Amino acid sequence: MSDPTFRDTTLTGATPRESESPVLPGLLAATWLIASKDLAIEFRTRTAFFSALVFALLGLTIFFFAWDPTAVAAIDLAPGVLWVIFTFSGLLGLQRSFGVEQADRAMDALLAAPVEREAIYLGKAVANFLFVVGVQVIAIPAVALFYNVPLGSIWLSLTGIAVLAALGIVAVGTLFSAMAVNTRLAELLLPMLSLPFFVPVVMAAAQTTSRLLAGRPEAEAWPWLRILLGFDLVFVVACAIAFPYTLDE
Amino acid sequence: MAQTAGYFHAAYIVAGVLYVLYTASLVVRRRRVLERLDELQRGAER
Amino acid sequence: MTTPDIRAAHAQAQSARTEAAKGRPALVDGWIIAAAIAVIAAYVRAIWFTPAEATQGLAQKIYYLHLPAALNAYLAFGVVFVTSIVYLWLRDERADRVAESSAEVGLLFTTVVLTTGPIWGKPIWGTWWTWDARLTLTLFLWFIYAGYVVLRGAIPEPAQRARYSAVLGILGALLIPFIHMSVYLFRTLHPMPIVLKPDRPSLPPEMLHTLLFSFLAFVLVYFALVRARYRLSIERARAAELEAALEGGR
Repeated sequence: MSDPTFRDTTLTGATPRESESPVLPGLLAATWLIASKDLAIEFRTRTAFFSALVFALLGLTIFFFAWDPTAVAAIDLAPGVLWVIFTFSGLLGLQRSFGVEQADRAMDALLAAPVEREAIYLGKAVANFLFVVGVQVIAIPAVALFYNVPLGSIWLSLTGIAVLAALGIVAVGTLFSAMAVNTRLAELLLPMLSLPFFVPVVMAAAQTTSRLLAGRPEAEAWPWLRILLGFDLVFVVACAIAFPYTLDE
Repeated sequence: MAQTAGYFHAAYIVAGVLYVLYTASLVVRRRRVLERLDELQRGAER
Repeated sequence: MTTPDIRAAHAQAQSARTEAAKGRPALVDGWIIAAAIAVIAAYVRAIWFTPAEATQGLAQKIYYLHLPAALNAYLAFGVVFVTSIVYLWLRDERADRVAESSAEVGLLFTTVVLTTGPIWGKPIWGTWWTWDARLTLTLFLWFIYAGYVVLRGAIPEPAQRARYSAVLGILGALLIPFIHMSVYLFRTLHPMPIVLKPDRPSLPPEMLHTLLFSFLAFVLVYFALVRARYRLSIERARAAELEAALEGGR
């Protein structure tokens, strides 16, 4: 855009803002603003959340009937099923994340607003994070119910794992959603690009859940959690930095 | 040991085929683009 | 049209085509020919002039194909990573062209690794597939390359295509260490059943030389193919420009 009044607002090249407020609170405020906008849209229509939830429950059901309980114990199967379903239902929410900005060229309006580009990414990521965690709040008890596994006994650790795993897939998925939505093969590209990145997250989450459920000492789960933490750290930062490059400016 | 000879042949053939096919695809694609370029240049001259 | 008319029109079209072809550059250049000769020489050397290994038999020779392909696959990926950074930094389209070429050739090499690997694995390890660290990492490399190529195919606009591919090229490189760590951890905690586990034989000098020769031959193949693909990318871009210009002119 060659409009001279259009200001480049990124963290690295920000023009001085009239309010003189430091960068960080501005960034946080903008992030929350965008996140709440997305959540408000979703809350009013509720279709995406409901679809992702139904998909998760259906998936759990299908896996149940595909399972031979005499060959594999529930406690061995459940963690894998839980985190695989988590991945695919998460993808449904991520698809929609930038999909909503396609109508009426809403993305242009978002870009014209005086918000840092990173805030758009972070805001959408926060909204996606809450979406994914929301689905998990129902899906995890559903797994405990359908497969009769005592997930409640490890609920605190499981919450921690769920938060870290959600952070991981949302960090990468939000960025790829922004990219995929601008291409010809949006619905195909998002899963194709994201899933290789989801693998370390799913591995860490499933292996940790499995060990904790089997009553193994927590120290055994620690190496996996370290990988998960490292992944979250690296990719939240990397994707936030990469996001402005996906914008057509 | 003689039994592993079959695998050995298979691997060398498969790899060779892959390399040749890719190179061939490059050649074919290049020819198509060059033909297209010719067409376009003739179209531009008119 | 009568048959003689059709034949005449065909003959005219054919001669026009040959005339047009005369002005064109040769389709296959010297580098590809040199690479092809090098590969044939490597094949000949590996097959007839290198002794077979005692315990593993002829199948061990697959290694002379498998290892160089793996090294080139990683080399190609390194090039994609570096040129992606260079593109985002300098916005030089030549960096994007190299990335595009290296990614496609990298996909080829990765495919070779993933096909020769199991064919080697079956006689040597007793199983077609084993989630061993290198093979698994190569599988993920394949997924990233495939995603890269599909992504590029889905974006018609050149600048956007270059930017998006560069982002994927960089993120993909960041993913590799995490895959490596995860697979390593997974394997140390899950002993994989392997029926035959040969000891790693120390390579006698003849085999080492063949391996080195093979490696050099395939690096030449990498260079020749990337160069040819790069040229194709330039010609495609020129054709697209001309098309756009002609469309605009009308």
